[in-house]
Amino acid sequence: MPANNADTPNSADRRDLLKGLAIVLGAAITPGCQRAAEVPVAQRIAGAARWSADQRAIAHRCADLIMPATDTPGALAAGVGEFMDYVTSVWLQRSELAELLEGLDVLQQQGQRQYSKDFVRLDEAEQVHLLTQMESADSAVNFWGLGAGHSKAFERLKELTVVGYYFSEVGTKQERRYVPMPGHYDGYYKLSEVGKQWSS
Amino acid sequence: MVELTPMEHVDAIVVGSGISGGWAAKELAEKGLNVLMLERGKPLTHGLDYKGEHQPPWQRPNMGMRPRELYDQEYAVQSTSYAFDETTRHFWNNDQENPYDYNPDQPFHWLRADVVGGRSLLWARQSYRWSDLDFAANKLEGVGVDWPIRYADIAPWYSHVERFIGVSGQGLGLSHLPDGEFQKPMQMNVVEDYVAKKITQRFPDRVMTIGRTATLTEPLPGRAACHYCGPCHRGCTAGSYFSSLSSTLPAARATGNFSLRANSLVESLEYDRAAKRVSAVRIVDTQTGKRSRLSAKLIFLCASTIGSTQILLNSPDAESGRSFANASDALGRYMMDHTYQAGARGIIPGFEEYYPYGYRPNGIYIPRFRNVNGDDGVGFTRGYGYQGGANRIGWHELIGRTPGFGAKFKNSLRTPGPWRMSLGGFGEILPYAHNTLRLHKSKKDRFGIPQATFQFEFGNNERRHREDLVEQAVAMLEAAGATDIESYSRPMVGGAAIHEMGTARMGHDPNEAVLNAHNQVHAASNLFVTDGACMSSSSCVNPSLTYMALTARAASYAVEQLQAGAIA
Repeated sequence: MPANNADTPNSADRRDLLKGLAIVLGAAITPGCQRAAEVPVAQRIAGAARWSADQRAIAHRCADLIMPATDTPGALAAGVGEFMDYVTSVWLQRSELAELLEGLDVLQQQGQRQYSKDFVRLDEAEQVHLLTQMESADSAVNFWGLGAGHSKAFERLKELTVVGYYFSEVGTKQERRYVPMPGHYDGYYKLSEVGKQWSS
Repeated sequence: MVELTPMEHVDAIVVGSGISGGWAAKELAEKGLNVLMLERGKPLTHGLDYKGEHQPPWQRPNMGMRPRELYDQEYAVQSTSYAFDETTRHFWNNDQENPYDYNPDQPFHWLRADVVGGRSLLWARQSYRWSDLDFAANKLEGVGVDWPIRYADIAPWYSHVERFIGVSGQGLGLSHLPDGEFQKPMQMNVVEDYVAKKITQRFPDRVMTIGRTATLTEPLPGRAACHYCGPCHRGCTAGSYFSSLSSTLPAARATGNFSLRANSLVESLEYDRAAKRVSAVRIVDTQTGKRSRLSAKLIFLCASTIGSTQILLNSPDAESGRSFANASDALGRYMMDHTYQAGARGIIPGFEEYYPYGYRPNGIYIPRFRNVNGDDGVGFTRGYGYQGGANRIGWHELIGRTPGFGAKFKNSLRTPGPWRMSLGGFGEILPYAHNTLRLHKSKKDRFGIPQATFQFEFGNNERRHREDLVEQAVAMLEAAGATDIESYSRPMVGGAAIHEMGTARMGHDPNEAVLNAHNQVHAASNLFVTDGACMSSSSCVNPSLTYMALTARAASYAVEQLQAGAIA
């Protein structure tokens, strides 16, 4: 029965394609990965609102820094905030959420340490500076203050933002070219005719 | 004893509404028999119940996220399929509701639908003819049992089936992958054409072609040509794909001789030893638990490889206490599948000005090239084929490959990534007596029916061909100039290819096989088994087309025998 799919030529390939991708995207798209059973029961979803107003505000601000308004709308205008709220409140398991929250707290702490302000009150250049330090896990400023190996929060923020964006109507219709009913197949079509990725 | 339910003139009962059952119903009804189809799954209406069809990403439930907890608790096996998600979950079996058993050291995946239409809704529609390389192999090698048929017996039935279901493909003139009655082939893309040329240049005995698929490139009555929307498993209201619902069931209905009962699980068959026939079918209504019995002149078991054999195993002969169909001791043995989830992929440099238009529900096929003309001396018998394709890497993978954030990052995700060519192997699994489907001694389902339990392990022949297919995939990608070649070989799981076959094999001798050359049970003249259970070997090509051809052939034979008075 297995075989073919429009995006990826077969299921084995599809699974392989996504191997090693981070958790939100992997589980959004890949069958059979990230089984809840692989996570101890105590770490599974608690079901309650699980982040503070500060953490939420920082995450939402980061979404717009990662996918800002360009010739297409930015992340928050596309609904990425709602996507983040959904994923953090009912979908992420506790250990996964903890990594994200830890990163948001560190952004807050570094805002205070480097600029004596909460992250959301910084100007954009300062926010970009901190987020850049976070991505590179800048040891010169001991960004994490927590030792090595705490860089997952940036990846997760980025992944949440992009997945939420591409799943949205804006990401489907504006950032990509929405063609739900192509009518035919052309394996020699020129990229210049469309200039961006297809969506369906 | 439940009373026989009085019925208005039913000539034939067909158990199962999937690929095989649909064909049995259509053929029998068109030959004038009054046909009743029983399906354990829920009712499903073509079109109306394809709730995931053309569903845009922003309207998906759970904001597009897979509900992991639910899948793990209720769909632990089904959710391993690429075709399982919220757009298709309503087609699939609930593993918690309908459990089965297996040895945890040798997991077996039983992927099954639970609706009218069965897996004909969900299969990938790859449709290939088998050849005498397949049908003669057991006898030549002294493996398993000799197939009681050869290609010449089934060839006209392949044509009969292909013309009706519509198979698009490219004729190649290969004797070991015979051409069919093809509609015009789907197109290979620029990189697939390039890779195909390079492979044949380097390996003159190998060819890469477009997949042969039961998806229309030209319209048929009541069915439109494919509009290339992509995920066929969500449903196709246009009927561009073949399924029971789009094709065979409407044809059966058009005769006026056909009726269908959903939610009707067949528990067992009653056997009349003196008359050597099945005297009644025992049914459980899955909604009420109510039991009933029906009888008919002819019974076609098309409940799937596992489903049909499970019914036979649960149907004792009053005298011996064991299944009436198991004088050979072959029933439940010789379970096969295909080896799967091994292959390689690599980046094909260049061609960056091209980006295919449309979502082609099909990939490429590389027919078997090992041991085609005798033993190649490669350390294993039989062979394997590849499926795959070339595509440009999409946004979901570009995230991890693109550092940074902000406007530049956002814009850089827009352009598709480089081309990647993938080759995944499907290899033949030999029939082993110890690979079994049995009834569990104590575990029962919610209706008190013994659960199916599996023992399934792979042999050295499978391990060797799998190593070779990975090496050869790499070699072909190298020949095509690929870079960043990655090979993969996942743990082997029985049933994972969803090509499970065997357990009620065909064979000349009633002491060795369950079915004769016409899929008729040796011990019961009015009983035919025409789904994957009948297979005596597994070939390396996809089996569904062969089930359909065997079913149509068996139906024709059954009606002839009935008319001749040879079936009691």
